[in-house]
Amino acid sequence: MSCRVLLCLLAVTLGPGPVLADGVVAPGIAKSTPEPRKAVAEVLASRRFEYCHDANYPLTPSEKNWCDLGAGANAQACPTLAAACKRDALAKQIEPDRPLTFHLPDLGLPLRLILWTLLALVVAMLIFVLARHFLDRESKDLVTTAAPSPAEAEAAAALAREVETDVQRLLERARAEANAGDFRAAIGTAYAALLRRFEGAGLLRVEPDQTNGDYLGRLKRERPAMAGRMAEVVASVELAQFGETAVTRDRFDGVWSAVTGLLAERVGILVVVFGLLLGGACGQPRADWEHSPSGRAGVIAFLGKRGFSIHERLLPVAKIGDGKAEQLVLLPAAELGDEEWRAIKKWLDGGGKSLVIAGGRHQLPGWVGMQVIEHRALASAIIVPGDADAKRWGALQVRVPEANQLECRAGSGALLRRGQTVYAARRWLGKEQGSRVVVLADDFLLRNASLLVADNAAALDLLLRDGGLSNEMAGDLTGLVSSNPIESVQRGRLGPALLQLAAFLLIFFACKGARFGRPLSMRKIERREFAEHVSALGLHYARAHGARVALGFLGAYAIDRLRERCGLHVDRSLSGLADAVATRTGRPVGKVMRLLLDARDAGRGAPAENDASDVEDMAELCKLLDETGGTGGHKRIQSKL
Amino acid sequence: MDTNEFKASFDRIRGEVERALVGQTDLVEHALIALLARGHVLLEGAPGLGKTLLVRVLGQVLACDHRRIQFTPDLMPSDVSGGNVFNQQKGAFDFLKGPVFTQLLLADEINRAPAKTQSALLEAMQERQVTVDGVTRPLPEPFLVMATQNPIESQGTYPLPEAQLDRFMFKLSVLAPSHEVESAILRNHLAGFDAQALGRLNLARVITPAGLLDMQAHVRGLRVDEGIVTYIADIVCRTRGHRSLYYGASPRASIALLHGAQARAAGCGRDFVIPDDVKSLAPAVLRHRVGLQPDAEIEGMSTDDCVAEILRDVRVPETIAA
Repeated sequence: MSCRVLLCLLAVTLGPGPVLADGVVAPGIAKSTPEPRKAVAEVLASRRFEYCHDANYPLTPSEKNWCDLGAGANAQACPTLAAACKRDALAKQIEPDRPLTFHLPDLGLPLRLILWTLLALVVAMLIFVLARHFLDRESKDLVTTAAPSPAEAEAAAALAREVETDVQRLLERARAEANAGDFRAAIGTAYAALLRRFEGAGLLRVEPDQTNGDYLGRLKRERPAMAGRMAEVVASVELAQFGETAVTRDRFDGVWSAVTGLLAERVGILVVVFGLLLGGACGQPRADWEHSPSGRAGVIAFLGKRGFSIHERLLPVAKIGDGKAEQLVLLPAAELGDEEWRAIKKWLDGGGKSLVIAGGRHQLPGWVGMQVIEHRALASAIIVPGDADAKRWGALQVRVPEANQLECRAGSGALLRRGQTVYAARRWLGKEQGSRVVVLADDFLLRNASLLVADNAAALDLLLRDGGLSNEMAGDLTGLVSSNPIESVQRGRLGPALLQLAAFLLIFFACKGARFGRPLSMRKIERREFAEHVSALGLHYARAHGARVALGFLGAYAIDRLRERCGLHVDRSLSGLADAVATRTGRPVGKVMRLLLDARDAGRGAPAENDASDVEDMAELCKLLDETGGTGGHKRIQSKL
Repeated sequence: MDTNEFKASFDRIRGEVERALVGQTDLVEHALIALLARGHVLLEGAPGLGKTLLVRVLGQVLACDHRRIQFTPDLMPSDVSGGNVFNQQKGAFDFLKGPVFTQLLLADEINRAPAKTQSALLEAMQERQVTVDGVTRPLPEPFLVMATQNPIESQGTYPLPEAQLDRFMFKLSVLAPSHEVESAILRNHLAGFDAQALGRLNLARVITPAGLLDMQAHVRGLRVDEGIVTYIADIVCRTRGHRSLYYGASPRASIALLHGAQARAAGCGRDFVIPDDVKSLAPAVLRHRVGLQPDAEIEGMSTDDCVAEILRDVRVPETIAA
């Protein structure tokens, strides 16, 4: 699209008046202006119009229709089109995107009020939460910046450092650093370009904790064939970064050539992939559409050569009154609503000279006095001048593929006729020779291919000339420039999407409350079991050579739990408990008794044999707890002990 | 000795050792790095994974004297360091050198001896000398202690005190071999390999002890960029304030990491250290020098997890990332 805009702007040439076809001189046309056929030949001599320079150029099915009308016969202006016409239609026709129109149903005033109130509340809450978040952060920043440690200062400096990720700019910067004599920095920057390229290709991810070895390892896994050359680059880079006090130009040149070599390889792969994708998506790949037979670049260049000033309008049509154009050409892709039509009418009434409507799906307002009717079965392809201005048009003959016709009301005069039907008509608004409206049944006259057929080029020149030399074209780019963000949302028809987003935010806000939007630790916080607390405490004591104390704690807890699980609420003796536990676990009674006695004695402060045996006893107690029906926490403790 | 000569020698030593010790590439590399950086190694692994074989093969390939001490609960400090014995003929005390007076010492199952016996190695490992009855005797150079401990058994063992652990440059986990390596070991044995008769393998004596000392001197002369020094300091300092660690690593860890990185760089044929040298050795240097908080231990964390987390947090020098 941007190409089109540039073309439009570049194609504008300011020249003296034009000359009509075959010696018919129109008023105000300078003698130096080339006559239409010559102007067309000059325009199409450019290599950008590939269909005139490549016999294998793929045409679309609709472009083949021009061949039937004799477009290929003009070998002087377009030598290869005849050959291209003989080939099958290979290229795909790209249909312009149809804008999605969405209108909210009329909800009535109360509901609309509720909706807007809700929206306002959501926005206000979001602003409040964001503001509070930023204020909190600022206050935290103030606290932390009060006495930054060297490590924090370094981290802050690292964050503040500009991180360039654009490969081309990095390469340019590397060159600049090398030219300035800082070869060490230049090598680092060139290497950064390479890493960023690989990152862009999804081969690795640049992270602050990753070393060159990590990157190399990843590349070895992803692209083994490339790893060898990458290893050479890495070795040179590391030598410059960590191994040499003075880095020479030769070192930089070596790294530079290796890096650019690898980059070129990556670009080559990308081009191939892109080409394959393009081929798969659009049939045979073709040059830019604007310079194809279906485009308009040639028409604009032709009109420029004939002395017209022609721009593609970017501002909305509703603001036509602010411009200085004499004539507005409406292409089918222009989006017009009531507001736009009113603005056009106002502009015409206020001094605008001419409006040309080139077909399209527009429902034309009544003041235009004409309507486009879709009709595909017409009698003849030949179009001849109609009643209005017949003398000026002379014997010009126009040929375009069959499509639409016009329905004219009173006050309109036919400029061009196709058999009995009207192809182009004009209506004066107010007095004659004042503002005019010209309607064409379609926009074929404004296509590049049309310039090669019959007297189409001269007819187009004549058609537009009466409306003035300063022209604006309103097409699909018109109105894309918005004067404020709200207008931008309106034009982008983002209202429904924003409403949905607001609804989402509202739901999230309702679910998460004020915490929504704040970074939260992902660590799962769960309550530990009592046994785990005991075990942690035991480990603490054991580490401080106080395992005896830990055994006392755990022993008391374990004996209580074992009594509870064995149902010994009355019998408080250890021997009874040992019997019950031994029965349940199948262990020797003596061993269980010894363990329980050790645990009880530890709680009473009896001296220990050694730390190791106490830790062992703790592990055994945990096993007992587990075997007598623990919650599972004991297994974990047991593994720790 | 220049960089290329060093790398050639390093590769030859490694190649010879790996002829006898199949499938333990990392273990061999780390042992050589420790040897060249004048450090000691603590090996942790199940029995039968080739720990003793490694020391014996190293002794043969490096033409170094080597001995083995089996640590037992009744082992006394004098059984390690040696002691004065009364010579009746001379009527005076003679110093009888203990097994520590060797170049490669294998301290097998070091955690089976009580702390007082383990401590007999403290001076030997750090000062490379032994003091008995007020007389200090230097140990032969080069001197490398490789101690082993079994992580499975806990009965009748005495965990190494922190001071002892800190004197080991690396703690390495000797992992069980993969299926392929296991098969290769079996094929070697079928072909006549006998760990008790290494002479049959005709292992070449690649270097002399004097040559090894030259290599050690070369390692110490390697260039270390200021960014690398900061990187090491960042890593070690972070162990001290880590939320899951009870205590962090000492400056001895920083020094070990520095010299280890130098030795690794030299082994790779470089005369300068890169961040990869530091990052790859950090777990082996730090894992035994830090202590886990009990709650972290309960949650199933290991010291290796903490070191990995620290390495993720520390910015690599000369990185291009934000």
